[in-house]
Amino acid sequence: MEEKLPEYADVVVLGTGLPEALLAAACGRAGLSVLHLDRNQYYGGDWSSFTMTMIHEAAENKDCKLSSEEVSKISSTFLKNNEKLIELGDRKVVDDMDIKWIPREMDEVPMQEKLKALGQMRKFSIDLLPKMLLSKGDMVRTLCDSQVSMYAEFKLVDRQLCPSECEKTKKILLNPVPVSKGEIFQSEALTMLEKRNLMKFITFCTLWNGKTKSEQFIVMDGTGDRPFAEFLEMMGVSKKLQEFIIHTIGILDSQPTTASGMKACCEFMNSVGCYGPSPFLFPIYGCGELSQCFCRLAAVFGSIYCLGRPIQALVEEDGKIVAVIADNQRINCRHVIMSSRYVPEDIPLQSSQKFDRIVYATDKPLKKDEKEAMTLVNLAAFRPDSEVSRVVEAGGYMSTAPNGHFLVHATGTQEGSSNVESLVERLFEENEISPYWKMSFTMNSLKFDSSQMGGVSNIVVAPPVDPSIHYANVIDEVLLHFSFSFIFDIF
Amino acid sequence: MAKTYDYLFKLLLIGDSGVGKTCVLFRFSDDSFNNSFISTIGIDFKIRTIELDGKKIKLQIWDTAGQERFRTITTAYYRGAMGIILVYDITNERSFENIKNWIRNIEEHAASDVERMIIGNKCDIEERREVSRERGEQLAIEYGTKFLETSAKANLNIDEAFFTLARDIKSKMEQNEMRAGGSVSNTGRVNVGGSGTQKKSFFSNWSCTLL
Repeated sequence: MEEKLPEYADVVVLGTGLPEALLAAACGRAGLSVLHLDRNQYYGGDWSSFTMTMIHEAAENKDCKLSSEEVSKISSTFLKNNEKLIELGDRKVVDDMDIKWIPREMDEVPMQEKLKALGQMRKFSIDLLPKMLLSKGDMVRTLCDSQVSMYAEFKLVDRQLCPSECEKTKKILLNPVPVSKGEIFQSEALTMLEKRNLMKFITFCTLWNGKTKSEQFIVMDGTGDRPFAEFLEMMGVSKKLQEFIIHTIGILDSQPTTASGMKACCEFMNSVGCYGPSPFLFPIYGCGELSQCFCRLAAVFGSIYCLGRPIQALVEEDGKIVAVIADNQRINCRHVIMSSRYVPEDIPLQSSQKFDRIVYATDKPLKKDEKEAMTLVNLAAFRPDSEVSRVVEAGGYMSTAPNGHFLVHATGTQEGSSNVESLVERLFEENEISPYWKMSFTMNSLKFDSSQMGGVSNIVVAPPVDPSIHYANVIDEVLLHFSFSFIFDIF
Repeated sequence: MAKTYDYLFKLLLIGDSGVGKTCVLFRFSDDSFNNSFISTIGIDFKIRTIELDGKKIKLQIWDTAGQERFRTITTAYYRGAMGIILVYDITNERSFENIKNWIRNIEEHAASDVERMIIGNKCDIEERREVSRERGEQLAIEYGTKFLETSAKANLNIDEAFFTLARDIKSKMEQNEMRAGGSVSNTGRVNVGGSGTQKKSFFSNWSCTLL
């Protein structure tokens, strides 16, 4: 049963997170032989989704650092003359993991036992990094072009809520954001005049979309880097409408300048109506499906997958990686692609950004509706200093929790004084929701410069996890990496 | 576009490497057989439309893409599957013993009401048989599934296997529909990239720059 790994692959990919999976699929499709490895038993790495049972197991830390005896043993077994062993890192991308069941008075039987007895633990699909897909965005395009879209199923995010503080009760009100033309005209939040002005602005955006960069530049009249609100003011958009527009697109860009705000407006509007009223799609069973689906594509093109075995070291000769040592075997290769987790310890970071992730399991939605929905809330207004403050609620409707149950995902960057956790807990308290399970951790977006790999030229570090709502950055960087490293090698 | 079928069933093939899953698939879908063993490359799924009781049933049958070799079948593979054919090789004891592991996998990742069936393939090679028919039948009884010995090479029982599974799924589906009072629809699912209007830009550019 213990099959041996191949002795050679054009490309060895370490880590099965989404960016690595994309790269593996692209390499496989381009006709390269690919060996795709992961230390974990499961696919997806830091981009994975877990069942309730699995997440408790996955949270336990395994040490995979080599002892000095192992290093010398591997060196003497596998290295030829002039070759050097480079140990792989095990960088902390997910850190300070804390998971707990929260006992509740209302439960006669503890929820954990109840779910277990009903066999529902496996009905959860808990994302480490939930993201949305813009209907006209890069990820959807990539899914279509690669035909990976047929491996997964998607549903629309059916409501976006915009929070505001009630002047009387000081409670956070969750107002539905109207996105379609029909919804805008039915909206009670806007006056007739504002509605007309909004439609005027939408027309302006449509025209803007057709303009060239230089024409757009002239219209912005030097305000490109100024806050978006100033530009809207200049356009004669009322204060209230300004807020409305900025809140709506704020989910894409919470502190927009004129240039980035217009870009976000156009992205948002382009995607509206594409598959339905909302511009956002979400994969059924969660985002972890995406990396698996790209891995399947890679496999269909002949990539070999092996998970859950030790990945020990790299072998370098004359500034190039010539082999990977994994599961006590030597695999010769021409390229190595790795997630930031595997980057050797002595390689300097280019940049890093930490962000908070908190996930709650509840059995009552944030805001009651006639149907079980998937909800997106931008909390930027309550944390104006932070780049990202976002809540995503998905449950039975998206098959990420048993029917009647929900996962509430909070994601927040760490600037400013307040944190996203306290904000979500305020929402729970005000809406009398008591979660029965909570998981909190920080995610570390570790960025490396693939041209600064300690003098080694054929390592590509896949783009890291990031707190943005969509996949644009990932796709951008993956594309860049792919064309860069592989054209240069071939020509 | 008008639908050319009444039902669409997603079926999976599962089992150890080399038991002949891809051969079973090709025999059923294309009525062809290739004797040389090539680990599965480039095969996603095959389609054949069959007729049962006057209904047109489109069977979409997925192959493992070679991911069974190191037991790295993605959990996503099992999503939405309505029927699973577990395949072992009657000339390979090991592949028979591993059926238990594959069933455990299915229980963990597939829908709880998925229809299952066990087939013992390569039954044309009687002289190298390691697993008796009785043991196959016994295992199927243990797991409450149907059982057939098949040969993709000699074209024995391949159609029977798929038709049996399809019939079981169909009757279960019709029962569920009756219980639900009308057709059961999957609400809210969005068809991404299925319309045939896709522009090939991103991925195709990648390979273009290379070749």
